[in-house]
Amino acid sequence: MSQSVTYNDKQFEPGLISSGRLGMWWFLASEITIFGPIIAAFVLLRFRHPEWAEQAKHALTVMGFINTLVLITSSYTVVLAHQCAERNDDARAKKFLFFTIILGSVFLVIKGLEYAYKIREGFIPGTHLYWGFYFFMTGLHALHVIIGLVIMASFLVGYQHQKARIGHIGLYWHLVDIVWIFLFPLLYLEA
Amino acid sequence: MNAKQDLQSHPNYAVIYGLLLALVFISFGFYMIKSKVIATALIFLVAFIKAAMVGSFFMHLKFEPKTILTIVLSSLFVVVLVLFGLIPDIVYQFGRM
Repeated sequence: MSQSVTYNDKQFEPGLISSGRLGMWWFLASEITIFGPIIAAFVLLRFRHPEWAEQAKHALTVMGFINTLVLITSSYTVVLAHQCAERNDDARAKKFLFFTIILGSVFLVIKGLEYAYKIREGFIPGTHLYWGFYFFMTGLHALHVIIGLVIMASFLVGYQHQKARIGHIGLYWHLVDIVWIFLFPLLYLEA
Repeated sequence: MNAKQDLQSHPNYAVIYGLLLALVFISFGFYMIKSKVIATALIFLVAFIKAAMVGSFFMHLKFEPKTILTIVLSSLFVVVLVLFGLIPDIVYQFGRM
């Protein structure tokens, strides 16, 4: 391991965290300021317009529920990949990274099926503001999933060079998971 | 890396994962509650708990230096500002139109 990270929750001591990890956290903070205001605007509009619940009935809740399970499982596998990489168990680290890529791909396939249904049935942006938000928020999220998958695939190919960065892509992937944790109840479990 | 550091940087992920799965099913169960106000409140409470668990344990926020927590909280503060900044226009003004 070229760089080991020491964790200390008692006090801040400069030098305990690598510049790469610090940079990743700044990047994630910028991501929060992208997704956060969009979600905030949607929450307020939903409070003001309870009748949007009629639109949410067409959101295919079961598929969203399955995707939630898939994404949480992928968060688990990527954190195991990080753990194995830190313990120099390279074979298992690569295996868990591969599982994460598979799960992320499954998420996208299910999302694609959902999109196909909604477009076919006419639930598209322009028909109702709910669907504008739906496609923008889930589309932006899916774009983040695709970017994460591409980066993880490149890490898998060049594993020896990227091994120390698996923790960084893991952080990114967990944020993608957290965003979905909020998108699921907002868009699929609407009261 | 000694055993204590290893435990801090890598807690028992299987337990966290199991709890997260349980919470997903619980929130789906809340969806069946007849009172939509109570259901929504409980579903979002569970969502915040799930997000906190992923952040604390999978992202290791619980074990990171305070600098990292400050970075995250500052970005969340911006989100809260936007939320309260939009309330007058969306909830009141836009609703009247």
